[in-house]
Order: sequence, then structure tokens, then C-alpha cells
Amino acid sequence: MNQESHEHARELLQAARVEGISADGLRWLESHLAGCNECSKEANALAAAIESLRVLSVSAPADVVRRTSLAVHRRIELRRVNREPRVLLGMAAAISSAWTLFTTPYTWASFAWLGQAFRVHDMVWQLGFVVWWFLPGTVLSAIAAWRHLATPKPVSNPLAEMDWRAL
Amino acid sequence: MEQQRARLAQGLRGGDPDVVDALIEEYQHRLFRYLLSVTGNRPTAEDMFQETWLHVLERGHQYRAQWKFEVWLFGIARHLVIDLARRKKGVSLDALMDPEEGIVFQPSTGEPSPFEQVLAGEERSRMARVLDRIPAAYREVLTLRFQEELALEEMAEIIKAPLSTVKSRLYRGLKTLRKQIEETLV
Repeated sequence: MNQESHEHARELLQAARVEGISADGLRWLESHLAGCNECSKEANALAAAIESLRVLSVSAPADVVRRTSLAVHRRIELRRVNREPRVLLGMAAAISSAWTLFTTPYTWASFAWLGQAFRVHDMVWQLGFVVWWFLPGTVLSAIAAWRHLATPKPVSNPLAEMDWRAL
Repeated sequence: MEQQRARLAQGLRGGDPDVVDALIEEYQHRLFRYLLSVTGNRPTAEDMFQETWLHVLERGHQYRAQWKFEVWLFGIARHLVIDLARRKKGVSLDALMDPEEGIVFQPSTGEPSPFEQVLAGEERSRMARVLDRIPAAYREVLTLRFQEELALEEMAEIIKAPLSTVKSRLYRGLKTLRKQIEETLV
């Protein structure tokens, strides 16, 4: 056996653990190890190193797991509380949109009739129609946006509360 | 398995507390071990543990049933650790995980090694010394390969690196592991 074959055997030993080797390579390696005490020792040492890593037991600290579980539940609850008004708002918007679609032609006709009855310019009753439909929604949206911006936000990023001294 | 993952995906999409609780219960030790291997720092691993689960909750809708949950989980954890280190130290991602640049988060001096604090068994202090001396980038791939028993492709997915990088880190990691074990025996 020459130096080259020992080096090849050591390369195959590692390759077998990392990406696997071919059946031919494995046969060659086994026959080499059977006749080479040095490479056989290397194979055992490598196997022992990997095994010592494999059997290491690491446990997550119980208090950290408990804290995490609580934080997750709090976040779920927060999401639920935030989601409920959104669902109601969505439903109200859907009903309102459907109602608008159905009633718009009748409202338009009513405004046109009123315009003729009071003999006002077309532009005036048409503007009245627009204000009638869009003003309440615009005012309510502005109030909702103002309230949303004015509400203080909870700290959603726990990184902000981390103890950086340990880093 | 596929059905189980489909149920999991559905539970995560809906933010089902029972599903998240079951996941924390099942993956707590594996996630903590992975975080410790990447950070080498116990307080950071603990903070990232909580942050990872909160992200799992927030990004639950992105999980797909064809993915292995642990691959997705470790991917999120790794992203958070890198992000944290980058914000803290203002260095690039490549530099952070460059084995030659060293460990991202150093343990505080004078305190017991983070590995010594959490490892169990007779080999505890020797292996803690070994792991302390292995660069984070190698420790990470060694953990994923020999403790998590993930495939190279799955590791590449977590690390977001080409397969060749994963292999080369594994070869170098094995070499370093062997060397450190030999040195601690002397």
C-alpha cells in the first residue's frame, strides 16, 4: 500500500459520512481498512467523533419554553381581538356595497325627480346625489383613520425588549 | 405524512393555538439545539427561540404541506439570527457566517460555556470545550447533518447556499471536530 492509497481511503471515509460513496468505493475502502491498521484507526476515530456529537443531549430550558408558549398565546389572542372588528367592518362594507348597487338607480331617479320638481339646474341635483352617497363614507373613513393613528401600538417586536448585554 | 403536514399547514394558517402548542412541544429541544449551535450564546439562543415561534405564528400562512416542518422552522430561526447579528454588528451576511471570521456571538468571558450549561451526560464538559472551539458555520452544518440527520439538499435550503458550500463546510467541520476532540483528549 502506498501513501496515495491511504490518502484516498481517508478521503472516502469522510465522503461516506458527508455525501455517500459508490458501492465500488465502499468495497475498496472495506478491503483497504481490513489490511491497514492506521486507516482503520482513523475510521474508528471519525466514527467516535460523529457518535459523540450524535448522542449529545441538549434540552430547551423549561422556563424559556413556558415563556414562549405564553407569548405565542398572547399573540394569538391579540390577533383574534384585532381580527373581530375587521370581520364586522368587512361584513358591513359588503352589505353596504350590495345595497348601494341595488338602490343607486332608484336614488338617481329620485334626485332627478326632485331636481325637476324644484326646477334646479341638473348640475345641482347631480352634485347633491354625489354628496349624498360619498360624504358619510368619507367622513366615517376619516374618523376611523384618525382613531387608528391615535391608538398607541403594543410592542410587537420582542427584539426591542432583548437584553443586548449578552451579545 | 403528507396528510399530517396538510393538517399542520391548515392549523398554522388559522393560527390554531393547539397546533402551535403541539409544535413547540415537539420541536423545542431541536430548535434550541440548532439555535445554540448557530449563536454559541445561550441568552441569544433563548431570545431567538421565542422570536422564532412568534414568526412561525406570523408566517404560518406561508408554510406548505410539501415542506418538512423542521427545514422551514430552522430556516426562519437562521434568518432571525443573521438579521439580529447584522443589525447589531452592521456586517454582511457572508462575513457573519464565514468560518474564518469566527463565531457570530461570543460567550461572555468568565462564565461557564453555553454548551456546558445545557449539555447533559458524562461527556458534557469535554464536548462543551470541543463545540466552543468549532466555528459557528461548521457547528451549524454538523448539527444539521449528524444530529438532525437532514439531507444535504435540505441543509442547503436552510443555509440558502449552494450544495457545494454545504459539502465543503461539512468536510471542514468534520476535520475540525476530529482535531478538537483529539486536542481535548491530550
